[in-house]
Amino acid sequence: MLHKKIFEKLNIFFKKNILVVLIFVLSLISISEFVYYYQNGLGLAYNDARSHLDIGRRVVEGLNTGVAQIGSVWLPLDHLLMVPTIWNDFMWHSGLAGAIQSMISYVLTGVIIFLFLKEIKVGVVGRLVGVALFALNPNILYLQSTPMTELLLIATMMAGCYFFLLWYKKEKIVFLLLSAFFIMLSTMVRYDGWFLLFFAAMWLFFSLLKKKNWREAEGKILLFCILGGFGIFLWLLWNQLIFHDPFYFIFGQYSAYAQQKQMELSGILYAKNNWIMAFKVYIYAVAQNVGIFNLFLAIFGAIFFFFSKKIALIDIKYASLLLLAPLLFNVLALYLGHTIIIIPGVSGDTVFNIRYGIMMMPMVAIFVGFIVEYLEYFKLAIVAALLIFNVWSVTRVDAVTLFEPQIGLRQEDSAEIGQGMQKHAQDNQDLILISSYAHDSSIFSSMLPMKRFIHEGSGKYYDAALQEPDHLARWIVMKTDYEADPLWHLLKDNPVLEKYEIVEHYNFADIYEIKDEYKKGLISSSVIK
Amino acid sequence: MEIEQNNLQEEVSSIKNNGLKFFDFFYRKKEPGFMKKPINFYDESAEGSIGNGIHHEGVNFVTHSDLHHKHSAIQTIHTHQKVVVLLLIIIFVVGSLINFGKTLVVLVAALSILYFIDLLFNLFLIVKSFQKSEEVQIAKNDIKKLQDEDLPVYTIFCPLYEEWQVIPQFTKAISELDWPKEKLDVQLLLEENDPKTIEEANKMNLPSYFSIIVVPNGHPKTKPKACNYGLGHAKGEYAVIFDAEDVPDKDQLKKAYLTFQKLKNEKIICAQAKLNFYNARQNVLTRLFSAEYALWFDLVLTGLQSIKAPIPLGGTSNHFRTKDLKMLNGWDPFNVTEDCDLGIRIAKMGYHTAIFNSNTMEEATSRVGNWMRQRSRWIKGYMQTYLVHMRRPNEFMTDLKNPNIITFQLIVGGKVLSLFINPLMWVLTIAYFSFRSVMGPIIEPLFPGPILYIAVFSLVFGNFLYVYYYMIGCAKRGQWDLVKYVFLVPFYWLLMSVASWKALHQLIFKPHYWEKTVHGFHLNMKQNN
Repeated sequence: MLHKKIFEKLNIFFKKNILVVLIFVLSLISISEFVYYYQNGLGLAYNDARSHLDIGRRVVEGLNTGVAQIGSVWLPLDHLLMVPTIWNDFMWHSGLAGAIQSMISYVLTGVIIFLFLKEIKVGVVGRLVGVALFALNPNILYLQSTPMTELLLIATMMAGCYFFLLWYKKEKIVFLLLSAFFIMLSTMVRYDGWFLLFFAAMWLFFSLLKKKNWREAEGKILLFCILGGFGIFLWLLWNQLIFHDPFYFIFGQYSAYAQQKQMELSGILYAKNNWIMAFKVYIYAVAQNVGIFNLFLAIFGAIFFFFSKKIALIDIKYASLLLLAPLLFNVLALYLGHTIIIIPGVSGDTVFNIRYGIMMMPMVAIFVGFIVEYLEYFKLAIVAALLIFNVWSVTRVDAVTLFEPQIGLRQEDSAEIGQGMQKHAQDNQDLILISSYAHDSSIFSSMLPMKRFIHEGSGKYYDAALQEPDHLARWIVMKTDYEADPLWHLLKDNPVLEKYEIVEHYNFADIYEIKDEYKKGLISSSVIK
Repeated sequence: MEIEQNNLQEEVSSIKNNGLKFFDFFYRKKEPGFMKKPINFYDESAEGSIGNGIHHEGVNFVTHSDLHHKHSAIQTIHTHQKVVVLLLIIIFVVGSLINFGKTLVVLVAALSILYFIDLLFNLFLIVKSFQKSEEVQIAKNDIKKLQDEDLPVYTIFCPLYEEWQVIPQFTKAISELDWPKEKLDVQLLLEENDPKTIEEANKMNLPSYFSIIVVPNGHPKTKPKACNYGLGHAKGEYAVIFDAEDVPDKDQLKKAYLTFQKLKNEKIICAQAKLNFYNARQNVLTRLFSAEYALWFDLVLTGLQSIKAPIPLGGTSNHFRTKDLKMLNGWDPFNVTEDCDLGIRIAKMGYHTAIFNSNTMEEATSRVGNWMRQRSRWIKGYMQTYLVHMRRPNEFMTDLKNPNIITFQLIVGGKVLSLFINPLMWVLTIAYFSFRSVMGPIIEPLFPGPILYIAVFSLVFGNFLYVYYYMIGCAKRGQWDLVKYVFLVPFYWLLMSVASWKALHQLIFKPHYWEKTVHGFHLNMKQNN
């Protein structure tokens, strides 16, 4: 009797406070996962993670600080969000300054999946299965513990999709504005967001033309696109103001386009101009990230969702199509050769960018949650199968997102270059000339203050150091005879290099130090002072 | 009478020709018996406030109100306010003499911070207006339940001056109101020196519940004075002001009555209906004017209401219990935005205004010259209101929990100030980007580090958000076709800035001059068509 009462009370408590409980549980998981990866030293396995942190740090500390340091290689939201905490050395070197956004995004996405499922009439069991599938996915758990942009992108895109759904259901302007706002945030994280904005705008416009009239469609699309596109406008403006070219991020020296050109020359754009290959590569990447069984179940769930009469409102189906945006974007990007995903046995013999497949995780979670709810008689069986499969895969295979930085193309051991710099430079105040574009993760690994480095963002110091490095830089870090290293490219023919000698040699860079007889000419210590 | 009305006509014509002096530090009338300081007088022979007024500088101004001169704009600026203004000028001059550059930096910093605060405040208001609808919603069913015999007498004030053309439209609009006609007390408030309107009104076959009330000639000749005169003759338990060109919703009186009944709050003494235009699509100016009204009534005012801030009332369609209006001493005849002043006075006395779900359609001024006259009067009135209520800022502090003093600064003071500063900031921005090589070295030192970030943030996000708010306002009103015209709003702002200089000129030289807005252009257009 007493047990029954306690059970009832608990039941009422959870019903009332289910979102609070969910946030609490997700937060606990998030924090413990971060601590786990931090303690075993895997939290910053990606070189990109360290580069993100360095970009954020340069805004507040360095020879030339300020917002201009966010540069144009990556979109800026991630780095701007770091600014309030990155000044702290622990937050910088632990990666927490960047990971904290991923962690909040993780919790937020879990809540949005729960709410999204509620809006498509899925009961508590289905909702919790959906959230669990997302929240316990090892790849999600790893990426939420690092300063990478995936979780922030997923959260902003999912929030955009969720409010888009609410707008379709309730037609309240505030939901359209919120959808545009979150999509705008996503456009400031990665270019996937740009596609989502385009996709959502098209979808909105044509559905309004069908349902309403031209006047209303025009007004609403303007309202949506002006806010949704504001981030893109700012980015173009930024590039114009800082680099004097609004499209610098596309065609600039360090742009993705320049990188793709290099890859094209290397002949590794396997999916370019090949729809089938593009689709196949991306689906494989998704399967590797979300689990093959989960993916099949989600496809089944999606078919059921779009064709089932159980979802009476056609608008909900329309709005939910937005969840497919990452699939379309990635396949299109692969087809156009704007990106590359390498999966062993499919498109190469190593692992590269396989984490892009994780973008479909929320969609998988939602459609699996849906199928669990609506295949009433098999509900238990499906939940049991999901449990068995996921436990089996977690115990058998590591997170593929963690696998990538350990064995992929990006396995340069920047740490040893960093340690080399630390060994030589930690006991003095002299400056190091280095390309942050090529060796940002080594800068991070050196644990030296950012103001010790002269790099592309150092403005007049960088320009002066390229002209007369022997006045400013005691050390030069670059990869000898490697044209892709910007410093080598710029300094290889400069006779001043004769004043330097290699003091450390590594696979991915050499450390040059100025010879003793030229040290008197250095003014680098006074620059710092 | 306490004071004899000697040579009143001469004084009135003198004031009409020359206006009252503003910087009258050395301005002294030497005639014996001349009272420099204002003093209220009371006509004991008349009923209520009729015949009462303020004596100032030898002139008896019959205002038909007991409003104390301290709460009136009869004196534009008080001595201690002049001292503050002088002190600020002296600080600037002395600062400039000591270090002109640094003084300018301080000035720019203060303005940038002000802009930034205003930006945040407006964002807060807009978010508030979405969070919880504070607008009182009166349902049709509630209206149906009302019995005619239970309804009180309702007085409608309609001040008219040289606009007999719109009387038929007004008569039609009032006769269509859903209120028992035997319980309507409609007062056409005409001016004694406007014989044409009196003649035309008498010729018209007005309904029996209309009465023509001729306001005795005298200075000031303003709408609020006419309304005060009407208030002295009001028979209704409730009262409302409509402009002659207004077309209120048919059920507005019942909704206003029910608003008071529903709220059952003696502290809420004014119910404000929303204003809209019936000629919104006449031309670009009326479209932009409509967008502005949409923003003001559907976002800003509801936001202000939600934080219980002082609400500058709209010129028409504010409903009162007549006893409350009398308790407030009616309107200030010297303030050319008596509505704004009354709204602030209501808040200062600890009362509130409610906004309810009814619209009054007005005529948007469709000609630039006419618009300029109206707008400059509004801005002048805002300046008068600011100066009147800043005579004793401590009066705002009655409730420490309610920061009315801050909201007043932002709603009234900041709004006007920004009109003067906006052009300067735009010129600085355009000059900087157009002639960077020449202007850069001059402008850049004005914006050191943090100030630059605040200023740039306000420039980019402020301008974007203000434009976007207009769009949201249009969207909330379903005026979708107006959304695209909002891109032209910067030109509208420019016009507002021009009007603000005109307003300042008038505040100094003709503070109580009422710039008459000409109505009925839409009627001409209809006839032409």
